[in-house]
Amino acid sequence: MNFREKLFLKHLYWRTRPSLVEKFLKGQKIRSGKPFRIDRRHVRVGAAQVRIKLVKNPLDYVEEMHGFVREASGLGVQLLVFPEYNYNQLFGLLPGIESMSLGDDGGGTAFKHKILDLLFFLAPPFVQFAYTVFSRLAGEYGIYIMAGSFPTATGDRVTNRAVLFAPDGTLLGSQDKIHLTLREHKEGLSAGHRFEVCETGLGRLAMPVCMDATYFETFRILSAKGAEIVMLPIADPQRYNCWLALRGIWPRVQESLVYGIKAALVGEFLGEPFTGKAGVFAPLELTPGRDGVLAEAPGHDREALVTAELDLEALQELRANHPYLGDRNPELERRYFPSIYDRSKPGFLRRGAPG
Amino acid sequence: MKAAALSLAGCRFSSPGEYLACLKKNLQAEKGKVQLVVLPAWLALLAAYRWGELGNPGTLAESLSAFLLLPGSWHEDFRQLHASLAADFSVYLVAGTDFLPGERGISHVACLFSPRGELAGYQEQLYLSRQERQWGLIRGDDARVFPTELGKVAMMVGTDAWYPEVGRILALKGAEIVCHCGAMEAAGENRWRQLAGMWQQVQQNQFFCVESQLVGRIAGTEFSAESLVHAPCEMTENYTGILSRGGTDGKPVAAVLANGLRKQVIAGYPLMELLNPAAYGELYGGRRENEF
Repeated sequence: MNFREKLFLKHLYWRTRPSLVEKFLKGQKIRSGKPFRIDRRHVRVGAAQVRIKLVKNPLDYVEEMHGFVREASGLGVQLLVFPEYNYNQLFGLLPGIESMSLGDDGGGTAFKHKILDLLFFLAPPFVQFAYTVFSRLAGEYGIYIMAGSFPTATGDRVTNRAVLFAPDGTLLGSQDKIHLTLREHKEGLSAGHRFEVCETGLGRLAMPVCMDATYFETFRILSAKGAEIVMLPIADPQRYNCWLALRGIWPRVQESLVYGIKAALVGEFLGEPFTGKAGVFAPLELTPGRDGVLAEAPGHDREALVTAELDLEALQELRANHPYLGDRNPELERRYFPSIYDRSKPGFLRRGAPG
Repeated sequence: MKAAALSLAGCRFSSPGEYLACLKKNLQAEKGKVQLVVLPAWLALLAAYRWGELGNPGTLAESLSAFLLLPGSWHEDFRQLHASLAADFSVYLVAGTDFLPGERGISHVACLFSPRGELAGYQEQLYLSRQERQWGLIRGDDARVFPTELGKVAMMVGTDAWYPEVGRILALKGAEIVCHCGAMEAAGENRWRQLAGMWQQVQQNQFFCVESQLVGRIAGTEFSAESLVHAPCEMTENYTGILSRGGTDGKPVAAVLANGLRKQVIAGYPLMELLNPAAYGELYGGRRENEF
């Protein structure tokens, strides 16, 4: 790191110093949330659909996140979920960022080949700032907050890490994204290798990240480890299509019998459109319309907050009595798992991931 | 290559001859155009019931009990009838499902016949519903893929549609076309159940699926759901993941399966290559039998 980079990093740390967050939130005159009564038959959850806006002032980010938490708390939400890449708004602190693009065709200066260097540089101050924001908001409002995921530098690796804060503001757990997209592979991010479940007063929570929901293995393992509510932060860089959007958390919830909460990052970021609908999903049998959806944002490109009530006891009853799910075939599973995965050939790692 | 699913809707028959005539009539429009035909689950049971082989059962369970008393020659005749049909139409034919006795017990089995009328493969159901477990059916212990002139073909029976393990094994064994024999009770919510079944299996494994769903009644139990031909979303109109749908009117549900296009989709979005087996050490390690 040269002198100018060191100086700029110090500048970033200064602009995102925790005391700013403390001071800002003190000025908000927050009515601290009362400790909520836990009733497994009535767990109220929420999912934020965040429209990305590059901020020049970090407090604009705090204000927006605070807005979601304040509204959710007012609606009785006990667990609030935020989207993937939920500190990208802070990229606005980089001079000249507006003229850059993620892709080749955005008309700006593509920096994708140096993205890993950029993340190593920016992640420490941004993660520190985001953790401070969500820890304080969780503590002030007395609710669980899954803050979304953040590229996080640890040693020589950058992972896409989701984090959960308890109602007292402590960091309860984290989950590195296990299944990276082609772009993330190409950018040099590292994948996680272990699925985590957090035991909380609300129930057993898990938080795989975006692409992880494309694979049944994620939810099978989490369900086997006891997860009842699976939170999924997403940031999907493609035009919205309801069928493409259906390929993630919805079928995973159906096959592994868990509740699912999806939070989406939407809007344009460095020339690319991000779309998605925040939602709360349940096994078909636990939804009034028998469609597996408890709540879903009305649009795919605007801010929204969706909430729903979960019945964790009903979930356990369904698991115990489901008419066609819940069977096991130990002979088949022994025969094929895990050896069958030897046949998945990561050829793109050898030939270079397509863009 | 073109494939079709038949549902048996509208087929009125009370003898093997009438049954065969009905199948031939429904397939006639596609004769010479399709190379693969899939029939629904519980077909042998339905046929035996309609042919008056089961007496007068009051329930599905009573039907099955009576069905299991039929001699082995009945099942052989049933297979032979479909082998002839496959040869007549020069198609690969998945002849619905039968319940067959084996050394360990009764299995729910689908058979694949070649255009030469030979048995080209079979597949037992691998995961059972609660009711099927109560009936004492046993699970198969292998998921097979059969090389054919059409590509690598596999079969998935009944409830297996909702077990993603089966699709993953078949995909990693190279299956390109999965034939699903289904039978869903008419319940008003089958559209969503089907999306949670073969539709999602196709989307997370990127093979084709020809799904045939039974439309008919066995001893007071009504079965009804759409038959579908599935493909990865990227190669279907409006990204629906569905190439063709219908079948509740008895007409074949047919579609061209463009394997070259499917391979292009996979090259751009190689889902199997993005698996992360290093993270799957706990898969099945922590689950007790019959528990999530």
